[in-house]
Amino acid sequence: MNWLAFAVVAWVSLGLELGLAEALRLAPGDIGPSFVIPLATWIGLRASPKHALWAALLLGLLLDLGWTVALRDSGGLSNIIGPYSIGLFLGVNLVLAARGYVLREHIVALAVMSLLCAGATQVFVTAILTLRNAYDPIAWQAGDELTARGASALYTCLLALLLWLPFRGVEPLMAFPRGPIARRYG
Amino acid sequence: MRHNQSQPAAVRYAMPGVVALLAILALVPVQWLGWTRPLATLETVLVAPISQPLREVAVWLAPATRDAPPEAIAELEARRDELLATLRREQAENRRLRETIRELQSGRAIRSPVPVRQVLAPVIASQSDPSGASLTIRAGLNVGLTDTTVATVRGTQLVGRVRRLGATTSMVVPITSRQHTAVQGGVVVEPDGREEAVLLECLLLPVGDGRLRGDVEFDSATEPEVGMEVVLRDDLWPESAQFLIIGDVERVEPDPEQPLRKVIFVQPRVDDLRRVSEVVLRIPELASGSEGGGS
Repeated sequence: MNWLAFAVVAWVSLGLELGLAEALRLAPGDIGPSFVIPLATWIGLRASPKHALWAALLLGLLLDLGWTVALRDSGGLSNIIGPYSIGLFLGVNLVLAARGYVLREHIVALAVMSLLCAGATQVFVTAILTLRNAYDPIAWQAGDELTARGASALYTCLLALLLWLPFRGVEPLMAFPRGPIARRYG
Repeated sequence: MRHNQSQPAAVRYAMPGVVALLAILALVPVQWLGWTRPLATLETVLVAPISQPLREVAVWLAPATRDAPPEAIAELEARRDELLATLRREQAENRRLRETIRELQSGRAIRSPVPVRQVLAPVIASQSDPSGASLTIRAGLNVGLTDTTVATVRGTQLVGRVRRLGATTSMVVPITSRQHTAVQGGVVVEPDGREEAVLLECLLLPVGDGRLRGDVEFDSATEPEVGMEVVLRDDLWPESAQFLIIGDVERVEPDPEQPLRKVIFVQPRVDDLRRVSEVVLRIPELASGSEGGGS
């Protein structure tokens, strides 16, 4: 995989995510799509397992840094490193496990796998933050979060349908391996 | 398998090592994660060339306020709201001074009203997470922000308090986001034949749909009604933020558990505070420590 092309695509995806988050949010609720998760899914479908997992860790780290959690008592904000990195790592592992059973280049495969990846990521993020809520002063309500994040995963699935074409457009730059590729670790 | 064993140990164990490190970091208490701030700021700055223009286009297509009045009328309304807030601040100051005069013998110092400088700052990014509450603005220590700075729309509608001051960027958590703590407000009731408005105290919590909800204690002469203005009256907020507009009473319901109270729903004058494209920052001219307002 061409890591320079990956860096540019990741930069643009994160810019879209941070710039359009409020515009695409189902106002005024907390349901919004992700541009980065379909990118991780697409790489999970097309790249070698090792590259896909490293890409997932890097994209997850970007998501962790692009999100702050409100603190209950002080009203301050804090970044938490890890929930998205590990969540996306697990999500892409699921994509790697399932990609042998789907037509990897098909638009529906990207959408369905994005739903799977986003769902796994959001469940993991909710679980970690709920666990942290036991000892950290974070403003967090697991029930509300799980509902909003479940709906956001569905929204991400719909957005993935729109992202399929741009992803196909930049695919030659990404230098993904050709021919049959391993489903999981080589 | 043989191929993996032929790799150096550093390469073989790099991914498990990174995953283990991230798993540990995911559980580290927040007080030990202060070092992540510069990294987050760096990410915001690097992504800003894409996120800011996109946000401006998005806000232009879907503005924060639907059916907004023409610019000239909006300006006049903002000026009127600003004057009203100043009037209320002066009235409160008068009351306080009268009390202070009575207390002078005990040697208490008189606090003078805080002069405020207003700075316009663009919102350059939101949060990537669905529950992400804060807005990133392009203003920081470089324009003299302090921890007592509050963000407003047009200088009158309260958006939130400035947090995480960086060199060139900062964050604002809108008062309507679910992650925001409760704010103390006052419903402005202007009874007939009285010179000064009466404030009915209420503790407002974000509902999660862009509104705030709270209980109001009232009597028969001063009852909260739909359309009444709600202003900030919270000792935990800076003096310069007092009497800024939280919103208007949108709905009043009886409180089934407390007959002398009513439940009010407050809608800010901007439909969605998270969609504003720029904020007016009110920066107290005095040092941050001298202005009060805890947390």
